[in-house]
Parts: sequence; structure tokens; C-alpha cells
Amino acid sequence: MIWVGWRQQRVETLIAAAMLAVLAAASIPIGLHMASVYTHDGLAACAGHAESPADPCRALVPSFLQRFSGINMLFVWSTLVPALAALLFAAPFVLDLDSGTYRLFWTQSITRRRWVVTKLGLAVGGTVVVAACLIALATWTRAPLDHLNGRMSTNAYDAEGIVPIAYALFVLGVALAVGALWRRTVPALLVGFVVYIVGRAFADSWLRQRLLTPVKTTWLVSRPGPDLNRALQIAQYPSDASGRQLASSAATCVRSAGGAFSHATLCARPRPLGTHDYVTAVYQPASRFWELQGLEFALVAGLGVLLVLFAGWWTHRRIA
Amino acid sequence: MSGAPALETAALGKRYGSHWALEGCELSIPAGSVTALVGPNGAGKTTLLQLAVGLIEPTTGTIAVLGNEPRAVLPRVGFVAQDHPLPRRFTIDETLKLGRELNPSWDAALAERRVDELGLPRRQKIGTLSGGQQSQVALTLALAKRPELLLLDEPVAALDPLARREFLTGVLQAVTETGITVVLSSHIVADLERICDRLIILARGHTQLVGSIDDVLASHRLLTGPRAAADAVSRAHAVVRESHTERQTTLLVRANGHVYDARWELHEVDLEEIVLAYLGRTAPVDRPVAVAR
Repeated sequence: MIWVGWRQQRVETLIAAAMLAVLAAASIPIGLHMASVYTHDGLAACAGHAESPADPCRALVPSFLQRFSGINMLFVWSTLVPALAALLFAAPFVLDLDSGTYRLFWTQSITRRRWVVTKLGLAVGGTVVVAACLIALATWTRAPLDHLNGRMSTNAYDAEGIVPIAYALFVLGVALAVGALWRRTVPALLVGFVVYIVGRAFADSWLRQRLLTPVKTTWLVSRPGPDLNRALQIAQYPSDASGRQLASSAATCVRSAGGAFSHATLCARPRPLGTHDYVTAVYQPASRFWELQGLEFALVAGLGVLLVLFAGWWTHRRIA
Repeated sequence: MSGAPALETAALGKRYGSHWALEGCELSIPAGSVTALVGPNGAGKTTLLQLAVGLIEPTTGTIAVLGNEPRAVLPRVGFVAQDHPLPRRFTIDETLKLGRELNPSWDAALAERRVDELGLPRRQKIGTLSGGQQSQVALTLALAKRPELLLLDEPVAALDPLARREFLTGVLQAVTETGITVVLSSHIVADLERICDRLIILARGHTQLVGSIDDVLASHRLLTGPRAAADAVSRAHAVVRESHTERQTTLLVRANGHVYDARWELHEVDLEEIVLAYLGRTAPVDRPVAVAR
């Protein structure tokens, strides 16, 4: 059965491999170039400090980030690769139900259970491998950027760690479950894609900030604050010593999640904050990267696996 | 082969929602026979065959295939579903490999010989083949499994007359070579007479007639005579169809012995007319009938 399952998703596997190859061809040269600039300019020493005006990092880091900002865009789009691959790998299963060829397979000598397990196992396997390849590629290519910026911005967070695998499994699960119920290939894949886009937007803009109670820190402007460059910032505002926000709207600076390299003081305008003013930040610190990834993975991948199991169960029990 | 019938059902019924696709089905198909399952579309033929291969589960009653529960004997049963679904992206060679992978009893030599004898292009994809060629590949897949029972659901319905003839010749060849039991559903009677020895007529979810074709032909007669005498006939014989004109009455009866009444003129009837008479009945007049040998 493994040969049959593999033969049925051979074209899909080749397409997924081609997508990865294109991505690799685009990112590896940039990655090599970026790494050499990074080493050559001595940026490694800049990570996490750029405070004194005399520090050469103050100019170096922003110009480096500016120069390679395109790579952020590349990897934002590249997170579509595992999602599309998952849809491709869902297709052969749904297609068998759609076209009626399942009746051929279920009347050979193998059990229905074996057919379901093999088909779904191959789909899950292919999906996980493609997502893992994306992670490896993104993590390697983005290494200098991550070193300076941390990995909490959506650009890095969505393409690295383990959540790409979770989202790929989620799309796969949705497409398979809808396909098992509806037995129509194209609608099932479309629903899978739409649900993926909505789910990702929801996770990026709402869920992630709330997975763990954010840290709230208040500090005197004259003193060094926490390292927010590498954190997932949720809000930042001038405040009193207890962290209550000051009424002055002109001084308010609320930053959306995923801010790039910048400083608290850059946000306060027009009056430079005095030495006796306080600033409060709400954020997920960079140290929580794996904790957040783990939680999000458990949630999303768990849902995906449940949907895959549902598709298998429903097909095994109900369809004829 | 055990002495068990190839296929045996008891009070078998299948309901979809509120609609009974098959109801109260009682039949026994002896091993070694070639049985035609005849009925109009929606009569329950596909339902019965899908129950026999375990694709669906009965709502009521039981079905035994080769003396067992259907799914337990799948390795010993060959099945060609309606429209012979095959993976369109596979070549013929790959389809044969599929058969080998999924069936421990696979007879590779038989499969290859059949494909070559039929002149099928082995490197060509299924999706590019004609309907007749696809049906031959599907039949090859079923036969190379070396089944004891072959179930064919409307295998020739979509084929042109030549492809239909070639397909049925293939079935007939398998029957003469291996003595395989065959159940073949169709709504085209003419084809069946050539290769089948038994007949099951299904209509509106009920079996209307079960028996060997010879017995069916021997026992059915067309009577023409006076209308007044019709009642007497229907007391002794089962009237399948009656039609009246002003001057005479025509009855198609399943005769229970000889018709002695001299007022009736007797004619033989062909199988097609018998089948049509049963299918034309508005309701099963009496219990599902079995023609005695």
C-alpha cells in the first residue's frame, strides 16, 4: 500500500519540492551575502547594545537592517509554502473519495483501516518534511537578522521554531476533514486555504499576545530599560511610577506587535521625556520564544492532528 | 471451495434516510453459477453488490459471501464497481503493480497475458484509455486476484456494442477456464442470456424472481383467451402481467404445471419479455418468487 500511496502523491511531492527549491534558490544567495556582510562589518558585536551616541553600532545596525529588509518579506511569503504543500498532500486522499477510486482500493485484499492509515500517514509525513525544510532554510538564512533583532517579530516567529509545522498540519487537517465530509476536492482545498489565512491572521494579531500573560515593566527614562528590541511589544507609553498611562496623547506611543529595531525614546514625541518621567512597556520578552512556540504548537498542531484523525475515522466508518 | 453458497442473504435490507434501496431480500446463489442481476436503475442492484463486498453495511438482515462476513473474504472476491473506477494517473503497468501490492494471491502472469492479448498499451495512462479499455483493465485487476467469486456492477452499461461483446467474452473465458462464480448486474437483457445461467430480477428494492434461466423460460407462458376465464387461470398459476382488449385477454403467467384449459392459446416467451413483464409490475404481487428446479 505504501508504494500505491506514494505513487498517488508523487506529482504533489514533486511540486512541493519545486516550491522549496525556488525558495532555496532565492534565499541561499542572499543568506550567504548577508552573512558575509555581517561578519565583515563586525555586526556580531552590536547585538543587544547601541546606546551611546559614539557607538558605531548606532549607525551600522539600522543600515544593515535596512539593506536586508527584503528578506523579511521573502520569509513572510514563504510560510505559504508548507501550507500549499499541505493542501497538495491532502489532495490524493480527497481525490480518491471524490472520483470513487476508494471503491477500488477497498475491494482489494487490504483492510480499509490500512488504506486510511497509509494515505493519511504519507500526507502527514510529506507535510511535516516540507515545513521542516522551510524552518531550516529560514533559520539559517535569517541568522544575522535574528541575532540583532531576536525572533519574536512575526517575520521570524512564523517561519522558525516549530510553529510552521503546526500550521501546515492544521491546513492539512482542515482540507482532509472537509474533504472527508464533502468528498469534493477543489472546494475542500479552497476551504482549507481560507481557514488557514484566517487562522494565521488571528494567531498573529490576537492569540500570540495572550498565550502567556505579558510582562509589564515600568522604568525611569534616564535609566536603561528592558531589552525591547528582541521582544514582542504589545504596548509602550509614558506613565507614572506605578505604570499608569499618562493622559497626554501626544506622548503616547502604542506599538503594534513585531516592531523592528528601535528604541523607547524614539517613540516619545514631540517633547523629549525628562529624566523624571517613566515609561511602561507591555511585551512578551524574547526569552519566552520557545515557551510561546511550544504553546502555540500544542494548540494548533493538536487541532490539526485531531482533524486528520477525524477525517480518517469518518472515512473508515461512514463512507461507502 | 466449501459447500456454502457463493452468496446468501436473509431478510437483507438497506435504507438510505427514509428510502429503502433494498428490502427483505432473500436469495441464495450457488457456487459455480453465472447469475444475472437484472433490474431498472434504482432497483437495488448496486446496493446488493456493495453489500456483498462490504462497501456498505446492511440496515437489516444478513449477507454471507462464500459462507463468511463480506469484508473477511475480500481476498477471495473480485469486484468491478459501476463505472470501473481506476486511478487515472496510473499507467496500465502501474495499475497491475497496484494489484500485486494490494493482493497476496495476485497472478502476475495472468494479468500480463490478458493485457497483452487484448493489445492494451501498457505504458499509457488510464485516463487516456477508452471506456472499453478501462473496463478491460478493471476486469483484469479483478481476475488476476484469482477470486472464487466475481461481482460485476453494470460493467457494460457505458460501453459500445463491440466493447460490450469483448468484455463479456473475457468474463465467459474466465468462467470456462476457472469455474469462477459470477454475479453480473445489468439492465441490458440480451447480453446476459449469452453468458448467464441464472437470473435474479430486482425492482423497487425487492427481488421479483430468482431462478435458473432454463427454468424461467420453461415455466413462463403467454396465454391468450377469453377474459371471463382469466380468474380461473390466476387461481392455479401466478399471473405476472395481464392486458385486455375487447375481444381477448393476454396473460403472462408463471405456470404451475400445465395449463389444461382448452380456451387458452399457449405461446412461448423470450427472456426479455419475461424480464420486462416483471419490471412492469407496479408492486410485487406476491412474495419474492423462486422458480423450482
